[in-house]
Amino acid sequence: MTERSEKSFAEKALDLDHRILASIVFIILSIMVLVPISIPFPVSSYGQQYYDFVDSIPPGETVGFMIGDSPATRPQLEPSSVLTLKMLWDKDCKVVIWSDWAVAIPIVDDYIALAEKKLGRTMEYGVDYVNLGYVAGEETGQAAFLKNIREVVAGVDKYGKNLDDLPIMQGVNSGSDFKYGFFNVACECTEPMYVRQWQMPYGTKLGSINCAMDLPSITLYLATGQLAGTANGLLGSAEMEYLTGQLGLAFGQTMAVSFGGLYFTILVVLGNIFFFMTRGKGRRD
Amino acid sequence: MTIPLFIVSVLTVWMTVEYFFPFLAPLEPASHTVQTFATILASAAWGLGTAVLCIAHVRRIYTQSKDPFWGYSVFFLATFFIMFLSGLIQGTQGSIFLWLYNYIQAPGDQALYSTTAFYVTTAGYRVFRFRNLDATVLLISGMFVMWSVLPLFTGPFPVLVTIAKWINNVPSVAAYRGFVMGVALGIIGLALRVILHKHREVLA
Repeated sequence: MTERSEKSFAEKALDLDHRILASIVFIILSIMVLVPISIPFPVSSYGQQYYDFVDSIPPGETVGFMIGDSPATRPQLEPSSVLTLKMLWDKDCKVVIWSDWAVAIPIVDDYIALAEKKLGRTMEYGVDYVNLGYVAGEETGQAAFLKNIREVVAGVDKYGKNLDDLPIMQGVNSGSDFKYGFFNVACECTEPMYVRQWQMPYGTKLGSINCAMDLPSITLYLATGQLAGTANGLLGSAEMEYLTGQLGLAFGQTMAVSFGGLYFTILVVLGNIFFFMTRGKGRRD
Repeated sequence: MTIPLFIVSVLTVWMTVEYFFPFLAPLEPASHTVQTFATILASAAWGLGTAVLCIAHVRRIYTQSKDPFWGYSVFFLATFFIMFLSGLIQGTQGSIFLWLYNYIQAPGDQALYSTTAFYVTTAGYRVFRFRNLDATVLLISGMFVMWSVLPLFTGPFPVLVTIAKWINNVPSVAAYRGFVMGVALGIIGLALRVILHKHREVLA
């Protein structure tokens, strides 16, 4: 009891129960989601570059799209992925879809349904898009798939339909048949894998849809031009919504996360102030 | 061990030569066959891994007196078999499978992932300190990069984006290049050891 009563204000503040800190985060994020506040929204160069890349794809082009999202990362990656599909289908592009992660399979169907809803029309399976399903084997699997698509998927799509019977697959059998491609990666830092196995051997121009934490592994390839653009995490999704004029969940979440970031900044500053106040008294953190 | 190590050596050399010398076209079909085998093995590994996991949990339940948390294994096996059977009977497009995925697995996954926000916030208060030069550089650069992706900060202070972009494009890329080159050299070294049979542990 004596030791507790001798604690200074700063020491007490440093010992603050983490549940209080966490509860405040919850309150801030909840308020910002329920009652959004409008603040200026500058578009980053990454967001603009990605949008320009999707916009530059010629109409009617056949595009490869690897979707490896997961439920956990879906709020970050879904809006930019869906809007990319919408922009491609707006231009009557054909989209060949596959996944490098089994968990992504049900998500792909949702993406397609959401893109169709935004377009206001139903896309024709086998003509406007095809789903080749899950390709196992990580990098080796992707390398094999991009070398000979039919051989790896045994000549059938996710539903067991013969690829030769689908108009979209006519003349498409390897990575070199895609001039443009996209990959959606769920915080695995596997983006360099697609640079190695897709962009480098076949010269495909690639756009990356990735979590914000993967940016360091992306920047290298953006600088060398091996990646044409990145929809970087939640901000990338919000920027796509803003640039396409389809404001939605990502835009609202970005505002909420902004205030979460402000709270985090205040905590870091206060934590350091209290730390230096108690340092002179010999307290060790 | 000699025959498996010999196979590994031959395949490693074969795949390397085929990748770096594409004009050696006759090597290509065989290397592609090997890659296709790898995708089949990876698929089979899912089944093998799942079977091993189930056996481990069954064993845990069987020897429950030694493990106070054996009840979790019962829960795991029950949920596993519900999901497995729903997929097996109705397929992955089946209503029960999709319901389980959309209303149990996905929210659980998202809830678990979102808890990082709370841990990171607490860590920011307790751990992010200007203790020494290294920690100060890390803290300042981290804060700039974080602010650069938050419109609340970049709106009134656009210079934050310029600073963060410099951090991303110069020191970060330089360090990451060094890291990538180091990893690449390490992999080459390991591959050489495997080819020369100096790293027999590769076959466990």
